Amino acid sequence: MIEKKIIIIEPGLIVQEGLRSILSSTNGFVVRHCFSTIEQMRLHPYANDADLFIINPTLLDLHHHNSVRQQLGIKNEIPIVALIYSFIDHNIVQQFDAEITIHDSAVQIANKLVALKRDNKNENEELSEREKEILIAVAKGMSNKEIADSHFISIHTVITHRKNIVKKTGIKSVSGLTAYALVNNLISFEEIDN
Amino acid sequence: MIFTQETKMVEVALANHLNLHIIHRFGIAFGFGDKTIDEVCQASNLDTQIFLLVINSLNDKSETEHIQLNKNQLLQLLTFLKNTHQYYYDYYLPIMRTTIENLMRACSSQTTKALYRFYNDYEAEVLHHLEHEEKHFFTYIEQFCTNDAFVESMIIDEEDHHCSIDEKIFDIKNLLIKYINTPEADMLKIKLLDQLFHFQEDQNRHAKIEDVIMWSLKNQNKTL
Repeated sequence: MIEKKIIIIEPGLIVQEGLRSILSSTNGFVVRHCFSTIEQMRLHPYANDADLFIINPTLLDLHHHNSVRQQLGIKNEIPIVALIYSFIDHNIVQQFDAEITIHDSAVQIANKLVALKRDNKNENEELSEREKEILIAVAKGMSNKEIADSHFISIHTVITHRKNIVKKTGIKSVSGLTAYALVNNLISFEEIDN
Repeated sequence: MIFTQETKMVEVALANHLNLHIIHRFGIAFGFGDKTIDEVCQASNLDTQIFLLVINSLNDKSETEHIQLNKNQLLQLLTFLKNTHQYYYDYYLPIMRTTIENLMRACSSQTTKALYRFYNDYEAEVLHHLEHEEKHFFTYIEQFCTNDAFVESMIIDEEDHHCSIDEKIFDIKNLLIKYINTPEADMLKIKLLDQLFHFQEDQNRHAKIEDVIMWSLKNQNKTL
């Protein structure tokens, strides 16, 4: 399962660490960084490498004419969640994709974040016809070069197909993929043993 | 949890079922009553610090403590590793083999045959890895401890082996859970999965001890 990377921006260390600890035991999420201020987050080289932001709205300039998203400089497709434990103006809270409060249980927090998850449609996809062909070739013990030559594609393309096969099946080793191909009747024992 | 020399051995044994194996592999016999770790180790001619180092690096989630090991300690750890291998050969690998063969008997189809074939590959790799370790790593420790002479630095490629074995066990579990649909044999599948989980955890613990030794050897080599 591909984990969603989270960045937390919260001034209080106790709250920051508490949230980190809760999220680290939540399946499907990993806390990438914690920052105490927005400025700190902006200066960090990997600040953009996140799938989800959790921010204490008191850190924002609440009278600013720009929206929350503009102030933070976060792309539209990345959800921003408010972490609330004091009174925050309704107009500000509305600008967030979700809100978690300090009274939420771990399960409530998890459910709110899961509801935000987008684009996980790739995870359970069936193998394409092309990928099945490549998988059969791998099961027969062919090298990347041999597969590339026999299918008239580049080695680079073969590697990309193989990566997608691993991602879709969850099987990494060559003997494992062979077993997968046999289990799914893509290939017979005779074909492998030849 | 961190154990100390004053901890009762029975507490170690009850804290985690895998600790039972650790105690056994150190050659400690059960029936130690309420004796502390230190008392039991002394009675069994074991270095208490070594026992604590092993048991704590396997039970505590924090970073493993790296210390300089003396020759006597290294030899005690070597015995421990040898006992672990013996356990795999005599006990654990045969148990898993029996389970998968029972699974085959319960439902023989292309599906279970494919799994069986994969398992055979996996087992062969495990055996190869164990033998490789005995031939190189174990021999190196022995030479290091018996001769004072400098031994040519050993080739350390253990990590690759562990990695590929781990990958295969992960795949077997995935195949069993996600792709093999034979409801009539699900109890046997669970039994096999139970054993695979146990074996994997045990092997990870085994690798951790090897790291402790490796670190110490590398460091001593530098100072020679």
